[in-house]
Amino acid sequence: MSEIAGSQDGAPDLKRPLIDFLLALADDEFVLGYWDSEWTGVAPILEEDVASSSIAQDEIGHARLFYQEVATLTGMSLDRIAYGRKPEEYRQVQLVDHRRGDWAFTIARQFLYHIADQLRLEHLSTSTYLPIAQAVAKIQREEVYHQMHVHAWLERLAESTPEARQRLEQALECLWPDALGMFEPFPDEELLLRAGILTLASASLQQEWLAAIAPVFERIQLPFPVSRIESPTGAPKYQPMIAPRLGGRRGQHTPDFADLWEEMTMVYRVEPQASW
Amino acid sequence: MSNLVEHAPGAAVSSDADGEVFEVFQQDRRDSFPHHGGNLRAPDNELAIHYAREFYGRRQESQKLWIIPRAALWEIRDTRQLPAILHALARGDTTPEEYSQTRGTFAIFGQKQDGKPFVWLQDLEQVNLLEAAEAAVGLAHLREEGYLRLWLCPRSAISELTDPDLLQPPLDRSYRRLDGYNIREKLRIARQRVQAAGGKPL
Repeated sequence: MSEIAGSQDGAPDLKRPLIDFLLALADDEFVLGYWDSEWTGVAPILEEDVASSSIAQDEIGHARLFYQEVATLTGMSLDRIAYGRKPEEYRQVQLVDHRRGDWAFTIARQFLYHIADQLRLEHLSTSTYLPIAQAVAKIQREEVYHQMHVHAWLERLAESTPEARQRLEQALECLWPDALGMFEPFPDEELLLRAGILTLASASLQQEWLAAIAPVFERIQLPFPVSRIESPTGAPKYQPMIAPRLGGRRGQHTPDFADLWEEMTMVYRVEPQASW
Repeated sequence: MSNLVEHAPGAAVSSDADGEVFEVFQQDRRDSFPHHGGNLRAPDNELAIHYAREFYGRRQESQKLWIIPRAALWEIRDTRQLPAILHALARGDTTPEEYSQTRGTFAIFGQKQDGKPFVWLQDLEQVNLLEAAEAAVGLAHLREEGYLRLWLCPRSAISELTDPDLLQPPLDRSYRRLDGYNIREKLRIARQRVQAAGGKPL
C-alpha cells in the first residue's frame, strides 16, 4: 500500500473523513484533558495535584498535535478548530463528556480510556497517513507514564478502604455503557480502513481492549459485565452484557459537555479574531 | 540521643496521614554526580517515583533520579567526633537492626556548606551501618575540601529512575521552565512586526 505523505495528497473523497477522524482523536484528548485539569488545586494530596494536572496538560498537548494537522488540511487556525466549533461539531466519545466526578470516577474513566487509547495508538503507528504516524510516535512515549499512573491509582482504590472500593465500583458501573461507546465506528470508517489511515476496525479494537482489561478486572476482583466465549480455532471472543451508548462520533453529547463547552469556549467567543 | 548523628532531619515526623517524606537526588547531563534536589511527600514508594518524575524530571532537567525514603537516611553532623557518632549509632534504640547487622552497599552523600546541596560521594560495599559511618567520616577527612554534613543510606533503599520515556519526553516541555512559556516566540514575532512597521522595538 502506498503511503500518503502530506496534507494535500489525500484523494478528495478522503479529505472529509480524514478531518473527522483527526477531530475525533483530538477531541477525545482535549475534552478529557479539560475535565481532568479541574483537579488542579483540589487533588487528594499536593504532589498528586501537580502530577494529575500535568497529565491533563499532556492530553491537551496531544490534542494539539492532531488539531495542527486539521489546521494544515483546512487552513483554519488552531484556536478556531479547538474553540470555534458548535457543541455538535465536536467528535469525542461520550465517555469523556462527563464532568470529573469524584477521584474514583476520574481514575476509573482514565483507566478505561487509556487502555483503549494505548491500543489505538499502537495500531495508528503504522497508519499510511504519515502525519498521524509521526504524532503517534511522540504521544505513545508520553502515555507510558499515564498508564503507570492510572494503574497505580486503580489498584490503590480497589485495595485500600471499603469506601474507596465502593466508589470505584460505582464509577465503573456508571461508565460501562460509555466505555463501550468508545468503539463506535468513525464516520466513513470503511474508507479510512481501505486507505490504511485507520489500520484496525473499531469492533476489533474493542475485542483487544476487552482482552487487555479482563486480567486487571480479574486480579482486583471488580465486576466485569462481559462474557467470554471460548473459540476452538482462535482467541476467545468477548461479548459485553451491556449496551454501548453511542453518538459521540456523530456530535451527540451529554448535558455535561454543553456546560464544559460554555466555559472552555467563553473567551474565544468574546473575540474570535483575537490573536493570543 | 546524640545530636551528632540521627535519621535525616524530620525523620521522626516523616510519616503521617499524608504519607512519607522522600528525598530526591537528580543528575542532568552536565552533572558529574547526583545531587540533592529536594523532597516530596507520597503515600508509598511507587507514587513517590511518579511524583519525583513530575517535580524533578518533567522539564528535561534530569537524566537520572534517586528517590530515597527519609527514614532510610542517617545524617552525620560533625565529622570530627567519630567515636561519639559510632556510639550513638550503636545504640539499639536509634538503629534498625537490619542496617547495623546486615552488610550491604551504602551510598554516602556530602554537603560542604549550608544551602549547598548534598552530592553523592561514593558507594561503600560490604559494610554495615557502623562501618559505613566510619568509612564515610574517613572519606570526608581524606577529601581536603571538607564536609559539613554527611548522609548515609543503604543502596537498597534507593529507587533509581533513568527511563528516557519518563525523563526525556518526546514533546518538548522546556518552554515551561521559568524563563520560558511560549510567549517567547510571540514576543519575537511582535518585535519583528513593530520593526518592520518602522516603529521602535518593544
